[in-house]
Amino acid sequence: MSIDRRRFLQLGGAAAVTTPLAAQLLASSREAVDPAALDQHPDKKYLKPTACDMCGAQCPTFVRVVNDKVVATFANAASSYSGGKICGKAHAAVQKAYHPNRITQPMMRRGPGRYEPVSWTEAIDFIADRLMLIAKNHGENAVHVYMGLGSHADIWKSFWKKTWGTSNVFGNDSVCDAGRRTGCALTMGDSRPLPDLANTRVGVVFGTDYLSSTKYLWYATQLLGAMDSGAKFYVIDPRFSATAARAVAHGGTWVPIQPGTDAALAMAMANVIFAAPDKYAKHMNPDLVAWTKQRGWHDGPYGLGVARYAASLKDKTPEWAQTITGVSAKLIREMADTVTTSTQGLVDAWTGISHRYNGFYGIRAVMCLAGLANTIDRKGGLVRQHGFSRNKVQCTSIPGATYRQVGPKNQLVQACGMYRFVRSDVNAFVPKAMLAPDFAAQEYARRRGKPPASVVPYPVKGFITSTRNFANGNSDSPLWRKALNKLLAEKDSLVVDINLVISEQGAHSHLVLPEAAYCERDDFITPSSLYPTVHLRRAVVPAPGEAKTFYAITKLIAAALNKRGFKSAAPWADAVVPKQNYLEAVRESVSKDQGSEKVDWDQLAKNGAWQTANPAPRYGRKGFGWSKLGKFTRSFDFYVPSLAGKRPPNDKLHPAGKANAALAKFEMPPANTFEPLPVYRTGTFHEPSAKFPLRLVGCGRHQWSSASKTSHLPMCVEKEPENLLTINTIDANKLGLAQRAKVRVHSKAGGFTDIRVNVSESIKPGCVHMSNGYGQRNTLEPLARGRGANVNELTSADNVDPVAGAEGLAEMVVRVEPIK
Amino acid sequence: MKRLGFYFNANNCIGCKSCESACTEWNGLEMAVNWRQVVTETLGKYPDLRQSNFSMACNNCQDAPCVKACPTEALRVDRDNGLVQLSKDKCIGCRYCEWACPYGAIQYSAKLKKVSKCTLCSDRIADNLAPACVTSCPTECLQFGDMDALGRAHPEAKPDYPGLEESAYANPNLLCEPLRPKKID
Repeated sequence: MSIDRRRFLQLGGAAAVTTPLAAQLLASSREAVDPAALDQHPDKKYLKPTACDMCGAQCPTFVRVVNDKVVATFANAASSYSGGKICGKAHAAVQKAYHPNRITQPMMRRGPGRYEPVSWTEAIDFIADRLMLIAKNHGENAVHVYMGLGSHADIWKSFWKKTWGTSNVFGNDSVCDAGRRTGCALTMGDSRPLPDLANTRVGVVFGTDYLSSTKYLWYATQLLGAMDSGAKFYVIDPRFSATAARAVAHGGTWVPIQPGTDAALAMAMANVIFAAPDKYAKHMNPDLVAWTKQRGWHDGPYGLGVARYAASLKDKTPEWAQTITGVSAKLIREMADTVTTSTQGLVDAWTGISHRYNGFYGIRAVMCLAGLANTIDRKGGLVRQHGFSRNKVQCTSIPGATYRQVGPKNQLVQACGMYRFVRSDVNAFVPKAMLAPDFAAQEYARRRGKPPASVVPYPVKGFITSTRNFANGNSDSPLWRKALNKLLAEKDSLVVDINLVISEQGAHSHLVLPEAAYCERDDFITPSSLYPTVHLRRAVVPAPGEAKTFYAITKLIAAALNKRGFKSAAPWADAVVPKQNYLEAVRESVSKDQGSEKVDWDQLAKNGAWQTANPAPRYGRKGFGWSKLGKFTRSFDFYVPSLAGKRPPNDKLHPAGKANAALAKFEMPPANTFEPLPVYRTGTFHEPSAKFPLRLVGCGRHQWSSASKTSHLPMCVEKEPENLLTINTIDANKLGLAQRAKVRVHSKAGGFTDIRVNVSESIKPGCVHMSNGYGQRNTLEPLARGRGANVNELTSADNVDPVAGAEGLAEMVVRVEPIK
Repeated sequence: MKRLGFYFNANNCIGCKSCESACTEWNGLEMAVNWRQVVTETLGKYPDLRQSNFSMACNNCQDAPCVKACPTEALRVDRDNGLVQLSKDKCIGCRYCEWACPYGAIQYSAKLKKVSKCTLCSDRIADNLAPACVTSCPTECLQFGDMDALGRAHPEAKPDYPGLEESAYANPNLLCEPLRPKKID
């Protein structure tokens, strides 16, 4: 693909180089396109606002459109969310739209690696017929629908959940932050608190690489800003990550920990605090944690289980943790002391520690430490998000559409007998339920015995996906390939992928439907943020061929179902919702949640971004209690039916947050099989042995790899052509490995893969690391195929956190053998 | 005549290569050609490590070795603005300039059998816009402007940096913020 801007310049008249006003240039080094000054911009004719979709941040951008083609991408200066910046991946996004392998017609599978274009009518009829068959034979729940950042996500999800009637409509939680969400929700009442990095003075961060994961671009700008002004960060990670490197460059500390032992470290830090009440009590939030000579450590008015937690940590000394974690007792004391005595401390943890069997308790231990160190909802700390509802346009926005009641909700995870406390999926169950029709029943019996009448087991027969690559991005790729191939061979199953190309997921699908790219559709985006913000994605160029938005695809499926007697789909099929009405409906939905401050439509439409009048974190907000967390409460009641309506007595949220050290929920049946206090324990794949002596850190992706989105983009492949197995020099020498030597990695789970090594000092001895998103096998993506190795050939679908359902993507022990 | 050039602060470069990709996109470069490149180097012994990312492009050196090496005068210094200009028509693809450049800034295209290099986004600066790489840098560790103004804004920055050719060799229009808290050995 070639974006022929140079030719445009030749035709359009590139100006000769003149000496510019240097002082102005210096000032404009930070320039992004400012919508307020668009009239003065030399490129104003060509610049259109839209939004990137290369990661969850979905930053607002301006693109340069020439002859109905996007040729360049710029940041949007109106967004304080992105800080008027975009990352490198945003520049690669345009390659998605003009990829030579882009599909513009529905593609029907005719055999392995063979796809033929078919009409939309043929494609939709196939889908509708199979759906009706699945519903008849196995019920609507047997259809699973997964959505990444595709277009019109909310309409799409609404249709499947509330009109089709499956409870299995999900994003990517179980391979993303399910563990953190559950741990945070049960500890402090918010499932995704965010770090106020701009104001942090001392940060202790576990298992997160803010800078490489580019989860949100503002992490980079805020973190570097804080470091520049003297903030000290301790970065706890077995890898010398980009965040660790910047921390060290700014006087901070890299803390190379034994993978999976973060709970022990956090508990020992809490022990340090509890052991010195005279020193630390004055730094506590007295509403949360109190200390008196008479009573010792005890709960403040909103503290929960503090005394019990303190008692349980009596023997969890830094010396105890040192032997487990490999972090010196001295450093453990230093970190505990520094962060607790700082008035702007941060304690945070993300997926590096939650993608483990003990992930939930790892997060719990860290979040309890965050509360103890008085860093929750305070300046520089972990701040609960604004109360801005992300529950956007619903089915009611479609004229005449109604909710279809299909009996009690019965998600696959529930049918499998898991107690789960945040609504998400356990992806690892899905291939098993594809392969064995009685998997859910057996799993329920294994976990909890006889299921109640409300829990009806079922197999997975329908699988509709977008922007995901299950055969590569989830635990145990061989199992996924086997399961998807089984469905492909059946006459009553359905596998559909909606995508721009035939990805590895598409190569395991009956049908691949062509989707409109980010610059060809309208979307309303409310990203995770410390303050209310909205981005507007606009269709700035036409979609090629017959590519369609999800909204259009929904209508086609609805019409076909209606024809086959599925009457509740009728309003969707007939709905004529002009673009403007659709956007208006979403706007109203958002405005309703926003109270007195309305989303300013004019500002949004003009600028491509809207944010609250005071775009700043809100510390210690009042009135953010259970009443505002209704969704979460209901979710909990749903998963633990015996607690429905019986709010545990201590479930109050203090305006300044809390650390719920002892979970009352886990002391009441039926969830009393779980530990109420944070614990350190290990799973099957944690401890190295003589046969599998190395710990594989399977988390931590390359900056340029988001697997299904990026693996086929020339710019991304050029930046990170393959993943490598990073191994410490000491271990490499033991194995006689030269730089870039090829090795075979065997895992305790039984998998193996071949990869080249990166012999480096930047990983803890005894550990190896490989990032995900590589080693694809799809013959239809020649650029992605065969680059590096797939880490999920090594992981296990059995390694699931029993509380949160997160997959153990980061936890495995392996053996590395040189390939002669 | 004002000298135009770059300021770079390796302390704040996160190695994201946003500058590289912005350059590729704006200038429509083929994928193997990087007018700007980010190099990451990790130094030291576990666990006492330092990592340095360095973003480098053509520095329009005042004593440009590439110009001296070019046998066909395809490379020359523009008298009006001091920038090193490349004439594609005159380039015979001998690659002497590539060998001469101490910063790896000259890029050879096997497809075109010619070299190319950063133009400082001449079309953008003609419009009083900063080069695409600078515009894209999320941490603002890469800046552009008149060298005197950059020097005043960053008084500690120097044209020399560990691992780079001594600045006296080519007199690059480049200022680098010293590394902190201590120099890389």
